[in-house]
Amino acid sequence: MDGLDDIVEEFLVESHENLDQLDTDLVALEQEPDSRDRLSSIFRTIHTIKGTSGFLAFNRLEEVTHVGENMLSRLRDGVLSLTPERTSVLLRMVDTVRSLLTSIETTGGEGSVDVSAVVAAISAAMEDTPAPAAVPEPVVEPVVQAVVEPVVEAVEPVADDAHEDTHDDGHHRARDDGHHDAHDDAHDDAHDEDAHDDAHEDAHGEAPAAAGAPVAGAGAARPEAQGGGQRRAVADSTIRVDVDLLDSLMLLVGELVLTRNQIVQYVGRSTDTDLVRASQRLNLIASELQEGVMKTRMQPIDHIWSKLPRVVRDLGIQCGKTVRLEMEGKDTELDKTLLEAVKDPLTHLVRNGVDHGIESPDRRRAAGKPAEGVLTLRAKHESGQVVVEVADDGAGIDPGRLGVKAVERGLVTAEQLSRMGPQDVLQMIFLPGFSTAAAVTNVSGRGVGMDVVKTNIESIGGTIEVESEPGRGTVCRLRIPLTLAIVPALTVECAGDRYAIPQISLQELVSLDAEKAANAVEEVGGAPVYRLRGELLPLVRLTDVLGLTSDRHDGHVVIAVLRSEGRRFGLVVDRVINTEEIVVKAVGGQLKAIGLYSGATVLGDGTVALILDVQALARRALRTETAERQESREAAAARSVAAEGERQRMLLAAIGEGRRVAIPLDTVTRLEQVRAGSVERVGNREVVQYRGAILPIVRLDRHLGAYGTSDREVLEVIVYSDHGRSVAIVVEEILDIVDGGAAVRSDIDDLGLLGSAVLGDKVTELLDVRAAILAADPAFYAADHTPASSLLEV
Amino acid sequence: MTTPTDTPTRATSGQLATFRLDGDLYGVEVEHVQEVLRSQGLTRVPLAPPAVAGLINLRGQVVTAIELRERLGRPPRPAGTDAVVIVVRLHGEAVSLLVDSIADVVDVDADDFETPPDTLDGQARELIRGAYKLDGQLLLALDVQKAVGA
Repeated sequence: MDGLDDIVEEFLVESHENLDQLDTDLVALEQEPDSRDRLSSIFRTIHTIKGTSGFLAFNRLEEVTHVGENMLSRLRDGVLSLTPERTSVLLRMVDTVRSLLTSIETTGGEGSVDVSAVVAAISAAMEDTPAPAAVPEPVVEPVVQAVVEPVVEAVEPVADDAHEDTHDDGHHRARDDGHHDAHDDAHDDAHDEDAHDDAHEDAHGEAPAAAGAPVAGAGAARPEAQGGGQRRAVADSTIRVDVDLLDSLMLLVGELVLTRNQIVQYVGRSTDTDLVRASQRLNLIASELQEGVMKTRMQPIDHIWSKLPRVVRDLGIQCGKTVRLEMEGKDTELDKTLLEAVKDPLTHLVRNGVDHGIESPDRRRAAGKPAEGVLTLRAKHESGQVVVEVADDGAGIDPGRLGVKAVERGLVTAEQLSRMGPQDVLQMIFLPGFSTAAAVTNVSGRGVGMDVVKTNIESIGGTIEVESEPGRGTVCRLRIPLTLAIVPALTVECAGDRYAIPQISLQELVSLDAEKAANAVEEVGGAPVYRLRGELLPLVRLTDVLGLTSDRHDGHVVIAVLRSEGRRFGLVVDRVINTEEIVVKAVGGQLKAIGLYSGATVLGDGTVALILDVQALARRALRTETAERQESREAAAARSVAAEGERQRMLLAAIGEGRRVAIPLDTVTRLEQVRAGSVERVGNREVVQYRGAILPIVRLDRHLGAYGTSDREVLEVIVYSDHGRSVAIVVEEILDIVDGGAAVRSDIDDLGLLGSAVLGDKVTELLDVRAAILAADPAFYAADHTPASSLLEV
Repeated sequence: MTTPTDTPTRATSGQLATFRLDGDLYGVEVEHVQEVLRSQGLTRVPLAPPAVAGLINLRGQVVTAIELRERLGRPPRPAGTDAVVIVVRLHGEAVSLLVDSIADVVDVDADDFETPPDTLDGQARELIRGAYKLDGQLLLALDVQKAVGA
């Protein structure tokens, strides 16, 4: 039994159920022999068993079902009509199938169950076309005897065997009814009740003795023989449960969890030790119950993965590629409903990986990679979520090409693109109407797909992001909640109300006291940003989004760093309350239409809190923000035309010898720190490895003829990216971000400078960014502005 | 469930649960009413339509509360007075209406029914099926379906 693998086990469970149905169907069929529906259903059942048994190499099972199927197909096609004899042999076949299944279940093989008799009986019944004519004749003894008696004899032992084996009342009640009905009918038809009663009696009398023989072989392996407390038979150890029932159970457990939260909260203030102890027990039990009920809905992801090898193989052949599919974490379980919802998106990603990700063998060889591509599926649990990755080792996505395409399609403007980091550019593949495939194949490339994948994943509260390394491959990462009903969430306070943020989107929390906040929260074009470990994190104030007024006046800033669509942003809230398991309740249509709340929940103290839809929030806040920024920029441009001065945000940096340089902020992609030891050399240029790419470095002090202290451990780096190329500008220290508009400008300049200005009461040099970048990477602009760059190089 | 509100203007006999709002007497079909609660803690919903007063916790179920005064274009409830919550069930979904106070269940006769008086202004007119002429008072029949803005 232990040797049974899942396929066989599933086959057994399913077949047992089908057989029970078959008994009922066959008997009912006698009442209405013309019911094609029933015949078809019986046919299908036997056909399924036959197919699977052939596949699993249970030859005798296949033999029996094959001949049974033949007969059924003739019955169904009306070539044969159903007679009681035929019903009997069919029932006998069902019993034989059942005993074969029992044997498979207990011993793993077909054992000693003999099928030749029943096969012969079915064949005989099939040939026996004149039977209906023969039946009404009074002198049928030899004919009927020949058909019926073996039936009785063979059936009973099997039946007994089954009784002992399965302990399942349902099983044998259904079967017994079937037999008696069948026998009785046979008797009536034969008009020879006495003789047949005898035969019947005889058969019954012999049954116990006869039962011993055929079963003996399997007996050793039977449950009884193995002693009392072992495993139940496969068919009895699982039951099918209506998913609705599990849903309502889950709902109740959700309520219990809420009530538990409430009680634990109240009791926490109590000094009654007995009460505290009881509530702790309740706490524990509720958690275990919740886990248990959740488990009933859990299925391993292999359920949907198991179809993918075929998909990959077929697609590989179609595309002329050899692709090996590797799977890691097959056993990772998640909620059945979610599993269903993930199936299509996952298949789509896999198809995409084979079609677009992995290159043709020739190109792979040319790139020095093995001809066989590898597509890896990974699933794992990570902080209350399931992370599913679809990774290929193909050509990767070129952000440059992607960006150009996006501009071509009018999805972003060239200006917007220039401000996007490579990671942001990649996420554009999820925009509707985007496809990077050069040609539309019948597999993918129609520009539908990735956005649908994203919508589907988001509809179940999941997230998707893509990572790619040109030349190395692409990874699509799905984050899916374990279950939909109960979600770990962060509760925050904003303007006196509490809101829940699903943990799935939460990355970290940053709390700044008033003093720090004053410096750390900066503005870029009117939009607040926070420098989180060097990266500019756009901030969104929840109060602004919701149109409320914050009740926090002490200047503290609490930032929840959230991730949405591969981008990060900081949500500024008034306070963080705690983390708590919440039960998601749907909200009415009116509130859904607002598009900011994914639902509501009841918190531990009984108050209702809205659950923020982080994806929607990001979309709304970040979009309006960029729009606002654009507007403010346009407004600023208009003003500057009038004032004949340019209004620009400038990043101030020190480059040594007390010199300060201003760099237009809109050209800055990222601020980083790089260890001096990690700087390497290519020829006479300095480079550093950065996010899998080689980043050329320009040291601003040397570039501008200032010689600062170059023995620093950590270099402050300003990363500038455009069209998929990046350079690193090394400065001594990042000082500030200032508004360049108020500055007094002068045209006193030097090599590499555009001029100078007074910024923050000090004379500051305005960097010619273009020149600095060309110093680091002379080919930087070559791709698009060749003439301009050659001019500048002179 | 056959809802009388399917044919809003037709006169129907039956029972109406009545309540007071800004001095007037209104009624909703008694079969829609699930329960009546005293004032509940409301969680406001930023950016929601003005008539959405908030969300209430009805034994673990989250129910939207509609401020009927706002819906009917009446002035806000005077400060210091608590609303009464009427929970109605429509198409299996519970929604609650905030009113001033609850009154009796009244048997109404179709013969007493009249379509809304012409003096009723636009917004309210949409939501009132008509009036039953009771002794000394008019009972305005509220179209629940429309009132909850479904």
